[in-house]
Amino acid sequence: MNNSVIVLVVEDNEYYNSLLSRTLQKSGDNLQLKHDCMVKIHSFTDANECINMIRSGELGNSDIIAFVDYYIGNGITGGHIVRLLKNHNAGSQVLLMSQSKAIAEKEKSGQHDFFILKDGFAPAICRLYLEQFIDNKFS
Amino acid sequence: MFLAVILLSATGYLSYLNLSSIVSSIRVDISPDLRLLSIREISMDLEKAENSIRIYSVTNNTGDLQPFYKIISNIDDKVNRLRAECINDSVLLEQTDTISTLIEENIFIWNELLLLNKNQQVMQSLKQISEKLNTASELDQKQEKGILKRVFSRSEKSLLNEEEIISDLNQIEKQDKILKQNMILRESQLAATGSEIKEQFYDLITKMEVAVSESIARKADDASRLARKTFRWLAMFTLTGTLLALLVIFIIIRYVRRTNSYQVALENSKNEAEKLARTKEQFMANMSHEIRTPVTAISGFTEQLLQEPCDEKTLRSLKVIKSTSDHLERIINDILDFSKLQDGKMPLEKVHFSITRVLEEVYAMFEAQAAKNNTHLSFSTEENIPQILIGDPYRLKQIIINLVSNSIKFTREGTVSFAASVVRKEGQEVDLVMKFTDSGIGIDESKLDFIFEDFTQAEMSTTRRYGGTGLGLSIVKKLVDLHNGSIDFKSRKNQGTVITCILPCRIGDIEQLKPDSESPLPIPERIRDLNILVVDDEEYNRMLFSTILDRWGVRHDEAANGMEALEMVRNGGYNLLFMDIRMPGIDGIKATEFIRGELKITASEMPVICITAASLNEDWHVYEKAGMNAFIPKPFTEKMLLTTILSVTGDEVFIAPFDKADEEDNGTGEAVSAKINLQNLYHLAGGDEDFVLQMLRTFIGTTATGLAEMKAALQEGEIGKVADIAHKLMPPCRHLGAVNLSLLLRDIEKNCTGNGNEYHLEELIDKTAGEYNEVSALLNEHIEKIKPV
Repeated sequence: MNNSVIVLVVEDNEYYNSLLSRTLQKSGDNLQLKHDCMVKIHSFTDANECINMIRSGELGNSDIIAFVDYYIGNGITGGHIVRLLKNHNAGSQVLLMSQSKAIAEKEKSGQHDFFILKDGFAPAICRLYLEQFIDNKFS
Repeated sequence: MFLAVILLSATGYLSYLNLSSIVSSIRVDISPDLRLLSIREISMDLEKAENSIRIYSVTNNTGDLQPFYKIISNIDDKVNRLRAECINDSVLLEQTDTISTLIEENIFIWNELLLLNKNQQVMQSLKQISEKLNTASELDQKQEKGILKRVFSRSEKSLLNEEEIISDLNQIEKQDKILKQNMILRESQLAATGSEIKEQFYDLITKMEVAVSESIARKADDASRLARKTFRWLAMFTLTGTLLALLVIFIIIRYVRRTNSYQVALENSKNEAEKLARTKEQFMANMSHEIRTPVTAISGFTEQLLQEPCDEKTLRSLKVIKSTSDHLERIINDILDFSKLQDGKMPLEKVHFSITRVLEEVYAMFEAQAAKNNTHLSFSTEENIPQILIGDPYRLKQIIINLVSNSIKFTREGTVSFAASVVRKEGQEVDLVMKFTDSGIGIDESKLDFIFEDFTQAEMSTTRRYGGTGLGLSIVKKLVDLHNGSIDFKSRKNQGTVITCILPCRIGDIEQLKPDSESPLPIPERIRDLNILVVDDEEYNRMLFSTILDRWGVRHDEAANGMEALEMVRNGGYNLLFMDIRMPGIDGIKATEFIRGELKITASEMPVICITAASLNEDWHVYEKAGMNAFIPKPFTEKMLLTTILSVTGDEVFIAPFDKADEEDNGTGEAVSAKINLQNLYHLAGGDEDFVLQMLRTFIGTTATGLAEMKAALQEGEIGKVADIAHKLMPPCRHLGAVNLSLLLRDIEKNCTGNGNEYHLEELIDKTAGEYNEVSALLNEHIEKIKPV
């Protein structure tokens, strides 16, 4: 059984990126101990780097959970990353994030698994989702 | 192994014996030969005695004889001691006797010598006298004699006497010479004897020494042989020991490996068993969830439809559906109950209940079925039966239902009766005696022993003809055992069956009786004031809730998963939450934990009722820990729903504000003000102030940069960029509770997208910058407070 999980954070705002990454890293460290698994977090402020990583095949067959901001700059939207990830690994969990509820409506038919509104609780919800994902996988 | 131990012991013992012999012989060898010592001592004594004699013969000092006398007084003892030491050796003993004889002779000769020596002194004295006399005579002849002397001098006669004396003296001298000759002879003899003694001594000593040498040589040979032998034994011992040790090590390793493999096998078996148990539990949970959920929906909706006006045909069909789904539900319950009973996970309630009511309910359940079979169904209770008993009415009813159901199933055109009575015991204790009698097909006596076994019916044909899982009686037996009761089964083929079931109970109190479950409860007004959120991934469950709540006139919303629920709860406005447990994404437990922990919505503000399959009751402590306040089992009735809601809502219902950013210090030093709220950040930091510092500095830096870029973009006319920047800057502001700042940024974004006025935008950006300055000042103040010195 593959006991590694890759977490992707794609957020061009440095502050928010650090916030999310730190929150998920902390949770990941605890989950590693709890389930004897490996949780590797990759964070990107530049969406192109994330895209290159996906295309390079570096992600392999590991389970992926990605937290992707909708507006990530350079004319790329989170929806694009979602499609790439789903094409790479249909089982990957992708959460689309935005502070606008309109995006939730707009991307309703998208391939993302859940939408997270970027409010004050968003990092905690992301952490909660990661914990649930890993608990379900390794329990 | 045993042989090796014996061999090792034997070689060890033999080695020990040989080594002991060697050690003993060494001990003997190093211990001085006492005989030799005695001989040497005697020899030295004799020499001393001889020296003493010699010294005396020169000095004539009797003091010099003291050593001699001392020696000869002790010599006998020493000779006797030597004799005793040589007692085991005849040759040495003979030689010792010879020595003893020679010593006696020697002593005799010494004594003779001493006597002679003493005689010689006398001779000397005589000699002296003779000399004097000779001298006096010569003087007389030489000197002229005076008158006086002529007068008074001796005459010739006296002169002649003198000559006689002298002659005598000469005679004595001659005798003395003879004596001397004798003495010389004696001394010669003594010398010869002494020499002989010495010879004997030396011979003896030599012989002894030779004997000792030979003995030593023999012993050395023996020792050498022994040593070689011992070496061989030791080598064998070592080899055997080594082999044994290797054998033991091999056995230990094999034993350890085997033990490890057994342990691994045991652990694997244990893991397998645990996995199986988990799988079984998972299966039961899944089955409970997957099967019960649609059954609940069917049953529930049918129940609702039955209350709607409809034609006879539809009503009949609905009743069929209801009874079928009820039957299916019973089978599922049977299987789940059986599983729980097998695992010992079925607790018994202890509540006050009316036995009469239970019997009436069962009667009502089977009246129609009995009538269908042309079977007369009756029940009775004895007059002495207490009105109220304490026990588990649900499980008691289950026992009665199973037994009555069997009786009715297997009885056509006959009678089925069940009767209840009690046997009083001490105090409030009674035995509830229930007797079930039917005139049905009965069971062959040979099969009675197997009747309570799992999945067993009397005959296979029974299963085919009458259906059933074969669990009914097994469950009854287990339930009776759980009650510490007894059950007796008497039956004969085609002659009916009599089952007597005895359950220990206690007499109850009518005051403690629960209200009649059949009487409908009115919907209180306060229930209608609630705003309820139902979270369940199953659409029909949501619909069921919706139907009931609509009928009650209660506001409600639905969420299909935990994530949706959290979003909706965050928006606020709900007083009560029904939360399913098993949902995709985030489950009910985690969602509730988030509501209580992160959103900080208390139970009094919004109770959470978990919706769960009844078989998961034992997990209630997990749900309670997560923050849930009650549970409603699936399937549930409208009444159960109402009573559950009433139980959690209390006397007052209030809607708490969602936003917790009030101006209060929570005592942790986290900055809370109208402009910022760092609680979220501190909560995520988990005590790591370096992280807080880093995040605050990042925020200040990126926001300042963002605002500058925004201004530059506006000057360049890049309105879209302004909107982008504003959009990006908002989430961090919200996270830090900089609500005003985030609202201003939102306005900027709105204005940009709405083709806003540039001047208005500039104004907004300036206002935003001002707000930012205040926020950053507060943040810098906080940074100063917490940064390390």
